[in-house]
Amino acid sequence: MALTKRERFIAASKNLLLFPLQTEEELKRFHVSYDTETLSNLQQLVEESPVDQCKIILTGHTGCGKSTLLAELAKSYERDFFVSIFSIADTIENADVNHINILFAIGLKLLEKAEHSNINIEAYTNAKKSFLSWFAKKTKTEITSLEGETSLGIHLLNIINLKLKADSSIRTEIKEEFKNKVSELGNKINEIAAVIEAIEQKKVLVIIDDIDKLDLAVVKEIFHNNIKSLFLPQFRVIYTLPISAIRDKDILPILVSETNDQIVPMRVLKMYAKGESHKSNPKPEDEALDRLRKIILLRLDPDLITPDALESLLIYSGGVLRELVRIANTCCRVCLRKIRQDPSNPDLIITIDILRGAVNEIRIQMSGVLGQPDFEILQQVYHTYDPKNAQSENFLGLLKSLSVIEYINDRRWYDVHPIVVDLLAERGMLNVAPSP
Amino acid sequence: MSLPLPNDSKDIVRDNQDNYDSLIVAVESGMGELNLLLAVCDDVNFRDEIINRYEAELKQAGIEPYQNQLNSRDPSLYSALYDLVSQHEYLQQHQQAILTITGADKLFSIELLDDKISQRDKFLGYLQWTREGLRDFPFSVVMWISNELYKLIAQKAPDFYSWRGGVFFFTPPVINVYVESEIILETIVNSYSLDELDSSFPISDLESVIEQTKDINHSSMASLYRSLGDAYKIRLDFGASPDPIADIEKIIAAWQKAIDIYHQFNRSADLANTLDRLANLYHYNGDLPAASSSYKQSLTLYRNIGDLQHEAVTLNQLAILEFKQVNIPASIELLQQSLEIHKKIKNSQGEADTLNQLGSVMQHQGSLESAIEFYRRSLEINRQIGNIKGEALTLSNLGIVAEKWGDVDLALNIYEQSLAIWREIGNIENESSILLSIAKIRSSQGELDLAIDLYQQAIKMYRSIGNVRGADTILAMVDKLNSSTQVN
Repeated sequence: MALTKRERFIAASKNLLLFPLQTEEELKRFHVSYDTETLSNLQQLVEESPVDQCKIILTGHTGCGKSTLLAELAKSYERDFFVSIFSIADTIENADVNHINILFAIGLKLLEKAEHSNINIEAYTNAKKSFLSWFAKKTKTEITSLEGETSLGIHLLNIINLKLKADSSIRTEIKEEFKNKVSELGNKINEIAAVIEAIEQKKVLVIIDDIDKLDLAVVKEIFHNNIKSLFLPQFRVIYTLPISAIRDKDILPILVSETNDQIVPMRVLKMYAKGESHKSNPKPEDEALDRLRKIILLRLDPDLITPDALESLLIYSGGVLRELVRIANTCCRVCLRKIRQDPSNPDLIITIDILRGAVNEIRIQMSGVLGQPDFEILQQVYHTYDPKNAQSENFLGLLKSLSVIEYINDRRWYDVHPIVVDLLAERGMLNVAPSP
Repeated sequence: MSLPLPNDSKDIVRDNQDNYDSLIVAVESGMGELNLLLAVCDDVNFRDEIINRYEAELKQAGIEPYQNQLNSRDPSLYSALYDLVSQHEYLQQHQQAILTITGADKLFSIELLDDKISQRDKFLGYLQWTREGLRDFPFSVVMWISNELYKLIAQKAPDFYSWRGGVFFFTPPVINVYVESEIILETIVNSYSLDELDSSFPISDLESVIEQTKDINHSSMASLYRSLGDAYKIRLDFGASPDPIADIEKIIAAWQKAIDIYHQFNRSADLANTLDRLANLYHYNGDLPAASSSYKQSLTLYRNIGDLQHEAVTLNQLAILEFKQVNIPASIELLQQSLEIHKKIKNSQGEADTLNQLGSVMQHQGSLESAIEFYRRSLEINRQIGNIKGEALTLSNLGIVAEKWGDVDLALNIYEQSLAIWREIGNIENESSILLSIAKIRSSQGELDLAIDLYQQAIKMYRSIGNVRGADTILAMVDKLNSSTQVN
């Protein structure tokens, strides 16, 4: 039996998930190669850099698709590399993230992955046992009951993982214990990686997601003050960092020298050439539109939206994937609400009017968090494509909240999120250039 | 490329309904996955009303409701959800459910005693960091927050914020203010629920935090003082105060201190809000000039920051004060100003309430025709927006005017209509007041048995709500009637 409109909008809404695509099923159903350039940049660095120098930084806007891209990268290397991909946010509580705990997490995640791969060779078992006993000794953890068993398996790793995540005293102990002996920890991790590489005949690649969620001060402590320790592993590691970190005058030079300039910015799709969007009849970039359209139409049936509403929706995303999905999902919800309020309208689809309602809802959400100083910066960015102070906390906040979007082609420039432009218009700030 | 902007000034009632409907469809369409929904509301009672409503509706649709409060000592959303799931097998089976989380707006924003960071900052830190972990919970999660906290979440937990599956704003209906009429007495003090009494911050803790931090020159000290005043006020309202007069002085001192600090840091909205609280307290205690002075200050602030809704409410309050001080023309002028604003911001309920007040003022100065006209307009709007309490109030007032007008049949007819609504709402106090009015008419019509029966119903009601004095007064009237029937 054919689905009702309501059922079809519910299905579309379920497809329009805001979370990164991570499972194989999700990638298979909805993935569109969106930023092949960034992906191939990363691949080139992973494959071609000398192993001991292969530390790569991936940076980009909130919601621009970093996690999905990393999942795609990990999948592409499934056969050729021993890949461990994890979210640091899922491993250690944020109050305790530092270079030592990150190193520790790397060691544990490598072991965990090896357990799942059922490596059962003596050399590995010994290395694992040595690491875990060493962990127990160093952190005074009681694992004696399990010692002597042939397999210190997933169960124990889970206990340690849980301890690392939930027990702040363990994290403090780890930090204290290794404060002056980081190289010892680095050696242990390298030992495990070497054994794994020898047995599996694959190179190790570790991908650490979500470091970009940390406050800039914490990122600075790790990547400015302790980067040499953090980069002790002699295998390939990719870290995600917030845009604000590579805007920081102290952090950037160190990152450049320590990574050998292996910093990959993930770009937001450029919807317009610079300056074009402010014209009265702006012409969007066809290629960007095509990619975004493809992404949406994998999740939303084309007969549920009018062509003009679809085009407007793409433009309103500002080229940011999560925002694209959010607007489309909100449109579905507006339709569902209308069906709930008046079930007698069987022909309801997403029209310009529905889109307007959805955009207005998001605009109300966004306006609720902006204050007068923010509007002044937004006005400045709108008129000059550049903030007065790119390192100011307010500007970085606007960048993080996507009220301002960074575009990169030959050079970097900024524009105001299309939904926020409407807020500036409402306040009469579009036609008035800010005071210099 | 811009779409034309829709009219921003939406009617509050319709807006709330749209947000409610959106919340329901968001829950229904997000089953089987983590669906993080933020519900924003500053009024605890209104929030609870909405929670009850959606829980009942979703339960009917096979979506089981669960609730938990954030633990203020360790305010982690993850833990609050984890606790719920570990307690309920239904949730462990990942069946259809909606998980409501409250308590975020009660977190303290200043560091307490030995804490390194405040409860609120701890909460925000957890939020920013736990998105991946939250995917363990494939449910719709509705987290209730205040407007202030909403802004902070966007700023301090931007990654969590970017995963929001929807934000739903609920604005409580404008505070109802009514001029006292012969039968309707509406208190205008801030009301607190029992729930708040249980969970409000202990006064001694607050005082010790203030003692430790009093030298800090920071705007957050103001909220600390305001909370202290609130805590005393709650104690007072619930009759738990050992020395009410001393407590009133402490409330005034604490709020006054908050006012000074807000003033120093130019926190206009908070300043105005605290001035309103102080004014309400003065008003309640009968210090009308002090109340009037505070309301006038908050009125100026609301005008400066362009907060039309609060401007209108404050005008209504000032009108009551003028009325009580028998300055009728000033009262009418203020109500007319308020009416214009309610119309402008399309706040139908505020408009209906103000019309009702205007009717009362006209009625008291004997302009019965004008009173009827205002009541009639108020009644029409209340019926349009389905505000049955407002409808009952206006009907009750109309009944009084009809009675004064001398049309007792019409008055009886109108009283019966309002009586039915008060019964439906379960407002015993007003139901018994109307019964008395009807009894009075029946008695004057010579239907003494019917009148006695009505009085006796009213006595029972008064007793059920503990109004012994009221019950005794009516009893005396019944005795008088009884003796007159015996004489006859």
